[in-house]
Amino acid sequence: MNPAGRHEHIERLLSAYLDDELTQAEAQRVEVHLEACEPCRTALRELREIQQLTAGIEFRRPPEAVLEAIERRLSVRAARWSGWALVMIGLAAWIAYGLIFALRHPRWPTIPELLAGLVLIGLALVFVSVLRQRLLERRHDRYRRVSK
Amino acid sequence: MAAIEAAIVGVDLKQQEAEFADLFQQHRLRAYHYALQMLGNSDDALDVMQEAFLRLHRHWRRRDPSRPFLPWMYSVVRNLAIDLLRKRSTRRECELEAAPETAPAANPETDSARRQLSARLWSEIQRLPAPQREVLLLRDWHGLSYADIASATGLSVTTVNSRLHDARTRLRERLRRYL
Repeated sequence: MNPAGRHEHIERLLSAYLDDELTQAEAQRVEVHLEACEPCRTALRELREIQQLTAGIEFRRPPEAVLEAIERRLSVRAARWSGWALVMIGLAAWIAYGLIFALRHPRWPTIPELLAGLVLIGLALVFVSVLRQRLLERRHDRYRRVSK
Repeated sequence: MAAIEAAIVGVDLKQQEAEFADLFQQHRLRAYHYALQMLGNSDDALDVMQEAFLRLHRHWRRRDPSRPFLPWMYSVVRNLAIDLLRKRSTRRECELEAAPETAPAANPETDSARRQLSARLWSEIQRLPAPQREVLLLRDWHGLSYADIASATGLSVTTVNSRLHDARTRLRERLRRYL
């Protein structure tokens, strides 16, 4: 590789050298080149300064009260999600058991079985209505309005 | 026996919940700032941060323990922010929430000069192409390694390296006279 080519090659390694992301052999090649090359030393110094300045940019943090409110909402929503998952699993198991039982023992249902059936139908209706509401909310998503 | 097993499971669940709550405390601002840097808007960033932690919590018990938490968290925040950007179609570039505020220095003159340079730098960072800006901020502001950036963004380490080099070279060219 000619000196100009080597210089260009090393210049492309400076960024990774700065981040300590080169192999030992590559890092050594860069260090040897840096000793003899003033422009590369300047480039490295400037890149380091940009890196330090970038790391030092401070962004406004949200108020602590907002973060705490999110934490509370998170725990409530997480618990609600777990609750829904358990209800769905229980409901599916209950329906499967009922169907298998009805197929094996065909007869008129007893009053407790009828009541259980009503509860199941009620829960299914609630589930469908929640699902419908979610789909409607999705259709009227505020971000969609922004993109129009 | 069943009672003992249930108690053990209960203790384990409590431990996992406590562990997750700790991670939320530690990394909520990282997630918020990453979303803010992608979206440029504080309300959207808070929404994304909240949704990201909700999703992380949902998969917390079934997570791959060999995968480090941070790249996973960043990838969830990133995907949610990208979804939002697609819906919104544009990034809000100049919202004040993203304005840099440097820490006060001992010397007011140095402080003022550094503040100006920092503001100029941020304005130049915002002008970078989004893929370069993202990698630069993940490395230099969030302090992620190339491997973690690759894991969070789905890029190869070589691409991370090359985008970072291009971003820094561009910034250096634009800011050289101030350095």
